[in-house]
Amino acid sequence: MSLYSFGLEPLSCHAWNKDRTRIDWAPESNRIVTCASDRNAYVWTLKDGVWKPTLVLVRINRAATCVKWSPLENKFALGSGAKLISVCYFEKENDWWLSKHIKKPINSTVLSLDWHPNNILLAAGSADLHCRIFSAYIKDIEDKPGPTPWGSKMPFGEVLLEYKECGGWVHSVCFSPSGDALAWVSHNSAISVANATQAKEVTQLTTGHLPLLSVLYVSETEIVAAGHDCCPYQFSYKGPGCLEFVKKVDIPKQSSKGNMSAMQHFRNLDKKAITEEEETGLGCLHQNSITELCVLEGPKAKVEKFSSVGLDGAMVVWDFKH
Amino acid sequence: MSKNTVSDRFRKVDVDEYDENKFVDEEEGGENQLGPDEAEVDSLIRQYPSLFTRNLMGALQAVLKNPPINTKNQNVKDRAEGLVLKVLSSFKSTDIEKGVQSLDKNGVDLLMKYIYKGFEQPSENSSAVLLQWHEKALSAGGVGCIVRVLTARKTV
Repeated sequence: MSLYSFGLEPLSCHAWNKDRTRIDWAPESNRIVTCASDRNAYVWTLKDGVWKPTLVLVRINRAATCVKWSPLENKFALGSGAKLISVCYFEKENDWWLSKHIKKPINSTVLSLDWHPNNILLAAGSADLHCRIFSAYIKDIEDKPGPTPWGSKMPFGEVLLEYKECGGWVHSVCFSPSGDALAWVSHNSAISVANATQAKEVTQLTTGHLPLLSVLYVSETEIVAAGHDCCPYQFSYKGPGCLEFVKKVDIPKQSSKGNMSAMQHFRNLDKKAITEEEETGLGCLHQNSITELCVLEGPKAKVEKFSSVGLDGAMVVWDFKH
Repeated sequence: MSKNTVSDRFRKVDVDEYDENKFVDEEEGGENQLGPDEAEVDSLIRQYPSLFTRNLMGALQAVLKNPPINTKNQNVKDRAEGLVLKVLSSFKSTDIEKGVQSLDKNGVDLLMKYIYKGFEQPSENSSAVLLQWHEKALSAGGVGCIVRVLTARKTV
């Protein structure tokens, strides 16, 4: 584990840009897409060592909240406070990015998105307490998809899963590496998994912790989630009804009760009015809520390292042992 | 001036009612929910399975059945809350922990909902009793339990 500190400002997304709300990097084609509360999205391409932005016509009238490149990186999805998802793709003829909207039946802000490995299905978690899977098939740029355990008819905007008992705003969604299962975390401090191969059955595990904000699959059965408790937790899903908590990923360091120097003693007294030795920091690496988890190293089916960023302005890289 | 500028009734119009895109909670039929069975709970409170101890554990399980979550009938909800409070107050302080441990996860969540509902309308001794129950329920359910009370759209 290693800790990088980016100063005192909260990190809202995995990058060092403070007024964007979300950012996503496409590793193969080396393009970045950013979206912000100014209702715009830009695609940045690296030309001669400088990142050049291209405006995307998203046509939304509220802030953009989340953005994700598709696995093949030929399109990206953008969630917004305008209660719709914008799926954007590049049109070669006119050399610009176009967007298609998914509106029904979303009733409130879209809080999180994730693509299925087949590049067609898109999961969305939203503030209307629902978790849905849509088809984002764009016939202009790709071939018709084959059937998946989630369904076989997939015209654009088709809803393949709609789960309404999430119990709270759905903060984050993540498909499993095979795409057969979908995990999400919601504001009622619960983590849930829907399994396509078992008739889309949903298993929910309520936790005794503060709500989780981000969820990530690190293998086909192991899931890591983190949130307001400032520490990543590992869960394991082996089938319907078998979702359980495994362990805390962060091992709190024992505070050493060594001899404090006189200098430190007076410094504590001066700055914090502490007269005796007290541990006021949290016993874990992050000192404030973790907002996002991201895969760093390793294929999706066997993640070796993942990173987390939080409101404390720090980014931590974690090793995961399978 | 031809317009009447004195009346300000327009300020009292609820504009949200006219919004087409207004978020409406999905209604689920709750007319048949009657809340926990009063007779059953009463009889369990008065039961004495062994010589001196009352069957309070049974009463607790019974009163947490059939919570009036979906109904809009305020009377049913108030009656249920009163009944729960009666059972909770009958427990001895030392038995509260055992009572909480006899419940499953959903039971603890439901208990916490009733506890907070009870806090809203304090009567003579209710808050003290509820606070004791709150402490034990918190150690069983964790902070997540309280978060679920706050996020639940349908409450008891």
